[in-house]
Amino acid sequence: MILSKKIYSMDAVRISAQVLSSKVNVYLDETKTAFEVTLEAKRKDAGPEQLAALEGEFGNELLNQEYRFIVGRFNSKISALIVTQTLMAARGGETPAAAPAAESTPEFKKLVADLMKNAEAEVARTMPRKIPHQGTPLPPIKEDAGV
Amino acid sequence: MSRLTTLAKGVAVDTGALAAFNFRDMGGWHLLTNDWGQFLMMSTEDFNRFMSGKVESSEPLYRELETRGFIKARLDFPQLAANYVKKNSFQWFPGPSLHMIVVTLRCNQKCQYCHSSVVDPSRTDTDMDIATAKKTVDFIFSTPNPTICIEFQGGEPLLNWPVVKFITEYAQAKAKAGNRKLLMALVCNFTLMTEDKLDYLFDHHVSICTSLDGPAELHNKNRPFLGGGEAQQKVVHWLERIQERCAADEKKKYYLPGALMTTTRFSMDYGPEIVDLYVKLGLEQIFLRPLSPIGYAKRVWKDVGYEAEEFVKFYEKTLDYIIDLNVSGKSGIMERMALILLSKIVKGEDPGFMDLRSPAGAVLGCLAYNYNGEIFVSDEGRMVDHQGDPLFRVGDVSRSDWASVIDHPTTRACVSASTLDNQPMCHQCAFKPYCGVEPVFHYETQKSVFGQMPTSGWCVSHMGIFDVIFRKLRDPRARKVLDKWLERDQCRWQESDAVPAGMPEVVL
Repeated sequence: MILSKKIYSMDAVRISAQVLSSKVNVYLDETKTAFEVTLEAKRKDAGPEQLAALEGEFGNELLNQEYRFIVGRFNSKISALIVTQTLMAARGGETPAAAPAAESTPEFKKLVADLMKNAEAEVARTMPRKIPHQGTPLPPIKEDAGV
Repeated sequence: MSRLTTLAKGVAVDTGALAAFNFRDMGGWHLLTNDWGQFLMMSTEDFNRFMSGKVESSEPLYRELETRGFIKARLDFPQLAANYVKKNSFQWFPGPSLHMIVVTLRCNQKCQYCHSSVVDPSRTDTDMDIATAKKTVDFIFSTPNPTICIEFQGGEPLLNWPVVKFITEYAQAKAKAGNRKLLMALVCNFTLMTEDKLDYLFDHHVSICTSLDGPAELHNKNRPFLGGGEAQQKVVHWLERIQERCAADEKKKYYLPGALMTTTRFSMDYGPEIVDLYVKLGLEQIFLRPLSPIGYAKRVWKDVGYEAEEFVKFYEKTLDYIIDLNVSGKSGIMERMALILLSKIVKGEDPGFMDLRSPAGAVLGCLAYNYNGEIFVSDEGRMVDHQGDPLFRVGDVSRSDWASVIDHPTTRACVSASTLDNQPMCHQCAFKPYCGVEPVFHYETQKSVFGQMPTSGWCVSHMGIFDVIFRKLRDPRARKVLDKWLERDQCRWQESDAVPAGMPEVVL
């Protein structure tokens, strides 16, 4: 694929390559005015139809990323305001609030110690024996899961 | 291909008079919306007149356009800003209020679509221990929101009952010590419920929710017991039993159980039967939820999944049935997704639904805690981790503090990616003021937290649902029912606010 540098940025090409990295290897060369992209399907048995579909997918993602940059620039003021406002509010201030004084009292500490002791005893009495960690139970998902 | 609509050819536009807005051709009429959360449904003829600046200031339509913020020279900024703040109140929230704790991954069911990435009941290594449970509650109470809602999830949380009890009592002690508002909810499959457990949940004011996919043949196909067997009868039994107990005691009226259904391919032919069962069981609401190709569901998508368009058809058909039941007076059952959207559209309020916010609720509104103390942006993010990809892990209750979680690069990426003003298509969409995108969904389906809206199943299904709801709002017969639902929902919340002194708040 020959991609004009007037339209597409290196960032868009790289992100698109990353998004499709599970399906294709992307090789990149460039001239003064264009990127030269070569796609290689990871599935060795991919036929002409699948190769054309992959090329289309790459093109769509490229457009999506490039247009996202344009939208991001166009709306940068309002989106930066929303993101900053939301993150700042959620942070709840520079320093975390101290634990309430009531939690430092001997009564509260005893209450917590009793709760833990009783809970541990109930676990020992009613729960099946805990086995050592067995690792991740599911194998990695296949690419052609149909999603 | 874009699903947005463009202006018809030949329509003259006088941009000088128009305030910023988005629009959609709804077939014979147009929908206009703006960032203030205001909307207007008008004939295409009126829309074209408005676009060309030909609506006279003496017309009633002009007054409507003016009060809703569509006329550039007549914007009432204080009022419109107040509308914006009311609709987007979550942008001012001090941290998450919803904390989902996975107390075990073990489960005694093997659901066709399980979102939660569960394991066999023998895998006790995936049970949360007491020390981790304590650290999890300590972390939750270190977050700044004055209201905390703890939701027990799994696996099947009743398989680790001692930890459910410990978290409940420890959190209640901490809430009392710190004067924090605490709500607690248990999401379980009911198959392990007992009268003793129910007594405990009532006594400790934990609200209860379960899964009910529909009639026995459907539910048991979707949600069989591990090793075979039927589960639906137990769910129905406990739903009836809890309602019986709630009805017998005035103090328990706030604890009526809720049920959620998940729509699989097998559900598509069962719309009316599912609704009828909910009506028969006296459930006040049904939530017609699509299946997400996340977690185990992604592996079996070819067997249980469907196209987004198919879900929208199912949704509309089933919603029509529900509205018919309401009109005929046979039932007053409400549909939850419609209520959520109506709260946003008609009342201009945020109903607290994490998925349809801009930015999304990940970290900002909710956090998920795994059995081993790992913290995730959402429960869906935890499921991605379960498949070996830790992208959405933002901390650990043993080592992290709140500041490190909110400042985490993944948190920032999710917030930025789910801000609709940054999204191609979304920023021009008429449904933008009420919609949202979910970074984990798009990472799972399109390999990027930003997603690609023109080909996104999320976008297709949500735009489809919005189309349905706006069409209903324009239909006087359906509108009457929807207005009634909003009124009843408002009363429910007011009742909840009026819970007698000494009674804790409850999750509705």
